Amino acid sequence: MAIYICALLSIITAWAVIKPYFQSIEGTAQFTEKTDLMLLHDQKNRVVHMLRDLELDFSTSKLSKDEYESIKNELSFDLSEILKKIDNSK
Amino acid sequence: MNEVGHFAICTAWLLSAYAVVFGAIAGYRKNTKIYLSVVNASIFVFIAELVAISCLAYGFLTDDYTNQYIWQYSNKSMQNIYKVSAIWGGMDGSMLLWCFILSVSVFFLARQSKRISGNLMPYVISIANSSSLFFLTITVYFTNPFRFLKSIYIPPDGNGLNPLLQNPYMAVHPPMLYMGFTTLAIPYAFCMGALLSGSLGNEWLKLTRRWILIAWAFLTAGIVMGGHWAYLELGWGGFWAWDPVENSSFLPWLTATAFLHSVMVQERKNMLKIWNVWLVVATYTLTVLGTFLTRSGVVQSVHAFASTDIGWVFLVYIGLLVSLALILTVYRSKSLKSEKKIESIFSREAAFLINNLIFLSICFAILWGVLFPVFSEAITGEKQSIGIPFYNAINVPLFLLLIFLMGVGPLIAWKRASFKSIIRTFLAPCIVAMIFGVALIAAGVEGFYPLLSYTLCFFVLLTIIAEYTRALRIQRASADKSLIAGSTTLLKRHSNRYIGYLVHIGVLVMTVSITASMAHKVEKEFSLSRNETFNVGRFSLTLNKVLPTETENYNAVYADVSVTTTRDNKYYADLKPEMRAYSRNNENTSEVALKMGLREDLYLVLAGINEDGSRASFKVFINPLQVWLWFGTVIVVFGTLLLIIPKSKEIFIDAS
Repeated sequence: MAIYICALLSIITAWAVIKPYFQSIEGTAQFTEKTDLMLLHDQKNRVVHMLRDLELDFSTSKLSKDEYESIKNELSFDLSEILKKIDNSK
Repeated sequence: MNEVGHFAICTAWLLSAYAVVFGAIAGYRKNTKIYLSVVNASIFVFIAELVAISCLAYGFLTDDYTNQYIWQYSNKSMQNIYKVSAIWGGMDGSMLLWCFILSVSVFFLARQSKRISGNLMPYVISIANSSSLFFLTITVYFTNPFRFLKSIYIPPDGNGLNPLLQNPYMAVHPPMLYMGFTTLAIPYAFCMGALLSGSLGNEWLKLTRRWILIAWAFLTAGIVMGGHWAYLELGWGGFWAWDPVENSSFLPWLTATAFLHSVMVQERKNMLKIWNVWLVVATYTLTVLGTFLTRSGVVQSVHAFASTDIGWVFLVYIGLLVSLALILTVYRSKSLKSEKKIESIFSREAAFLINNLIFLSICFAILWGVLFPVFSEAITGEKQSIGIPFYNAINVPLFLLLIFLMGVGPLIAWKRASFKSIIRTFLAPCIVAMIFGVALIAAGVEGFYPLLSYTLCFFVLLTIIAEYTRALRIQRASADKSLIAGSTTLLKRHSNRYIGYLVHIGVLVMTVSITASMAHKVEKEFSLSRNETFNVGRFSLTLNKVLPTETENYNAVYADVSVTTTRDNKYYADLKPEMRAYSRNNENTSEVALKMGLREDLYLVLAGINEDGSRASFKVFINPLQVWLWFGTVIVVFGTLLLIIPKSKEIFIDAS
């Protein structure tokens, strides 16, 4: 009985490991490099996240109006620069 | 079934080794076929280990004493639940359990990886399997639970499990703890995968997030469950003794908690990259170190396994982990440079960094305490241990500082905030909390640290309530929403922040409980004859009788004690503490009688009985607010699980 279970485990395991070498790989995970465009979108998402946090911090009185506007201007400038780069790379 | 089990773990070992080597090759050569083969191998590591652990469980349940390990840790009179939990009652089986639970994590990782395209995953799978490979190497070559009993005849019965481990919590605590420990291998795999592949954007952080939250939730639950077991079983009235093995489980929890906070800084500001890499490496390394300390005999502990000679294998592995991380961080140092700096000490980034430094300070202090006996023996020849006073003296102030920071965080903005705006947001909660502190003094609460602890917890609670209230008001005003609709929107849009505050509330509940049960604990020793009464706190304890009892597993004597409230003589509880003698193991234990209450726990231990059974000695503890420690843990774990649930789509769109 033990020998049959071991044999079954061996066969199924070997089949699972060897099978992909003989299969077509269409529609499966592909290797992709992260392009400059994708990296720019990452940066854009980060700045958008910061702007959202800024709105929340200001609305919950953690920042004065001057502080809020100063930081918002900085982040908006950063965002506009990133969006320009995204447009240029398309 | 021994042969099948042994074959299964050898198969798992081979598959892991294949996955380690070919996973790296797949990543280097960007070969999809090799990658998919490695993914399948990872899945079948889980299947092979499932077969192995099932064989061991079957052997325990069928009393197969041809197996050395089963004979050592089981006997026929044990209930089935303890026969199954005996799998992890000894070193060999517990290593197999570790391997199996790790394989579950790697299985889900492998399934997840099929949906993720990119260069990162082959390396991640390879590193995750390297963790499996290490622990399987230990299991196959050093701690194999499928060894045959070296005897010419099969014994009719086994040795049995340590009576202290025959407890429902011990059936659950190790698997829970191992789920926490082993899942920490996955963030480590992502981190190393990112370094190896060069994919050092925040992608690896996003993919890691859910894993580290799962690990942290299980680790928190596992550690507290262990404390609960100690509370119920060891009879000293406490739940945490800064035992080396307890500390070993706490160390990776501290660094993982630090990482959970500092990762938010990297996600927003692309800062602290090297810091976060090393936090993840440290967390996993401390997990392995903890396992080494528990199993090598280097430290003495009631929780430790018997001493073995596998310590050097762990040390070699730890050396490899640290060396690989060092080489890769130097190699990738350019990509790991922070893009920005912390602009102001009055910012949330700075608060998180200080929070991290405190966590690491606590971690270092505890690690020093754990390793000091080893160093002292090596240098002086004498093993000197460090006791509870050292840990409390260093850690209590540091933990209170952390509690204070928990209150600071909600009140401080990202990037920078002026001193003026901080004062504006701090002032009201500070004043109210101080009034609360004065009220406590007036009510008779004594002790600097307890007062500080309660006041700080109240301060933090106020800041969290203020934060919720302000944000909720804005939500409802901006969209004319009801309270429930507004709360739901708030939690959906800013789930990490506001569910995080829920977890903090759980921590506050735990802190208040720990403070109360440590600072205001009542402990008395007394003896009673039949019908005599002893008063302690608000309770009167009367001994009714002392009687023997027995089961198949043990002989015992118990004391029947009635408890009433002293003021009005109202019935409160019947407590029956026991002294047990397990004949098979030649071990004696004391079974605590416990009455839990929202206000306090009444904890009674039968310390001894005179020769004719006419007089019994007891130890009684009154632990104020003890039960809130367990409630607080439930809140913390529940909040963490809420954070793990997938949220609604982000407001921005990913390029892919």
